[in-house]
Amino acid sequence: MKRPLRLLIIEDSENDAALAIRQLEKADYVLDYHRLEDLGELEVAIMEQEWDLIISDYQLPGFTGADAMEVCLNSGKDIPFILISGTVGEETAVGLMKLGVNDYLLKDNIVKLPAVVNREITEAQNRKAKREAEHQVEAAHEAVRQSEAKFRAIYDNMFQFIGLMTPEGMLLEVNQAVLDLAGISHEDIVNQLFWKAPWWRKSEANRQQLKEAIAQAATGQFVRYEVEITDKYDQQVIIDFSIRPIRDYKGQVTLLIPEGRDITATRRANQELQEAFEMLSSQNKRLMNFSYIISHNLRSHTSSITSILNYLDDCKDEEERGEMLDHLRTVADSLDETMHNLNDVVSIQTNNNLNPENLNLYDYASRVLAIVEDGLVKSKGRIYNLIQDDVVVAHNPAYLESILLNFLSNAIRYAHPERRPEIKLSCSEAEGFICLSITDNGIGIDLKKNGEKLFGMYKTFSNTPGSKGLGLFITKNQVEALGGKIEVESELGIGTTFKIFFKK
Amino acid sequence: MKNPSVFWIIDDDPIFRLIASKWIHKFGETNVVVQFEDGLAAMETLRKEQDFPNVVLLDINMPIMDGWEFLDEYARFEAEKKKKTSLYLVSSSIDYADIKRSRGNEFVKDYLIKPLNQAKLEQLIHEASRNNPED
Repeated sequence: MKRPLRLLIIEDSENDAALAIRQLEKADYVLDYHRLEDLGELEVAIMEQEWDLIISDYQLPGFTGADAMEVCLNSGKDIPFILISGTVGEETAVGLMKLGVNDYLLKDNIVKLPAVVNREITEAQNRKAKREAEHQVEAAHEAVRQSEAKFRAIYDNMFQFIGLMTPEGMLLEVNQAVLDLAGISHEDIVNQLFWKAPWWRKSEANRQQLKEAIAQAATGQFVRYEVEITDKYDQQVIIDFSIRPIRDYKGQVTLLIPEGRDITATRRANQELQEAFEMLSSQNKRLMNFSYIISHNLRSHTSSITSILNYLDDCKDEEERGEMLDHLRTVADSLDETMHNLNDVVSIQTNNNLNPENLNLYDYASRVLAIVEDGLVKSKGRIYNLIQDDVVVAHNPAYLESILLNFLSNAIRYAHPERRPEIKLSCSEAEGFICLSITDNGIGIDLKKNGEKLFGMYKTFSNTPGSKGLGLFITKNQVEALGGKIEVESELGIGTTFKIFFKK
Repeated sequence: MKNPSVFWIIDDDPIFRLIASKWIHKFGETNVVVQFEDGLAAMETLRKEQDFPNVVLLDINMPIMDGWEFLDEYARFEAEKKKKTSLYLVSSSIDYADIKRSRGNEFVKDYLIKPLNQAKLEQLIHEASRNNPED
């Protein structure tokens, strides 16, 4: 079988070169060869052309085979280099082999050249294949490295929390977002059980829930729920949390991917929306109440006026006409009073400039007690002011006075006819509020029947003189205008406790 | 000779009671008018009385016992007693919720809006006297 061979011959003797060529051609090599005897020419030939093999004499004009070898090495190309010489001793030959000469042949043994060439070509091919294989592996490694770097960049820069754990809950990986959330490093968390991670520290219940979720995910189910965790600033963060099982080709769950999304902002926004909705609802309710007032209270006056006038049209008796005019005047006065009251209510509801001041509750209660004293003396009642003298509420001074006055005069007005009125004022702290309790032993209110209407405008529940049904409506507005609220407990015939909550 | 018709006016507004009773007397001199300031007083009288009035003009918004509560109690009387009684709700409220609620009550013959017009009142008085059987 013919084999092509690109051969470079470094030889000053044409005969010797021809001898070598003949040997190789006899061994079926088809040669593409070039003979040279100059070191510079050698350098150019190696750089500019591809060669399968170099054979070189040792003694050359002005240089040796060792010099040629060096040029060959310096080129960086792996070309088998065979030295053929008649004169080199054993020692030099060994030195040259160490230098990088692949093989060595005496001119007397030139017949062995094809065998040596065969061997060297094969070895060179092996070396080349090995180099290429190594290169491929290196390229593959590089591709993996680049791919890993790409995914790592995504993984570590996403704001979602993600990790990897065993079906038993042992963490293998977490991304940078998780580490940042907890303010820890990778070593602190990897190879730890997931539920021992610091963000679960606040709640044993959450840890228990997590263990159950991991157990469930380990059976191959996707688990997802909302949970509150604690970040490095000790803030609560609401997480949309899930665990996704990963199966191997046999269908067995080998890994779990825990994933979390911070939905605190969304939740907060929802909450704010809810609050805004509630505020609007309560405003709307007040508006409805207002339309009810227009429908009932203003209309009742106008209908009285109309009916009196209708009657007057038909009335001939002078005395009766005078009587009707008196009634007309009464209705006009009452209408005027109603309009004033309405004006008060509107000014509370539209006043955005209430200038709350820090007011001493005990002092204000004492001041109002002095105002209601007359009524109290008449009914032989007693008021116990048990408010601590250092309780301060932030409220509008005029409103606070009006609130206290209304509750206290109500308590006196609705006293039980069979006993002396006893009224107790006390103060306590409630969540975010200061709570003033006013307890009386009066006639009480049937809350089942009247609870809803209690704070409506112009609602009265008794025929007690002086009850116009306006006070509680205004009072409620004066409390709520500054973020407070009123609660009531009462039992018919026993007494009533109003609790007024002032925002802290 | 017909029996005189008996009218009850249950309303906390003295002007309404006054004007309404004046009209009632004007349309029939023998008519009897009884006035109540709130539902409870009227209800207590009803419980004692065997003879029910021919016409009840019932206000909705009143202290102590309002018109709706009165109607709840009224429903408990046996039908025989209420047979000759026509009950009208009378209110200055033009609140649709009130009107709708009155339609759902079988004892309310009609919902009258204040001020009452004389024609309506006259018609109501004539109906009452027609329904009032002779001795």
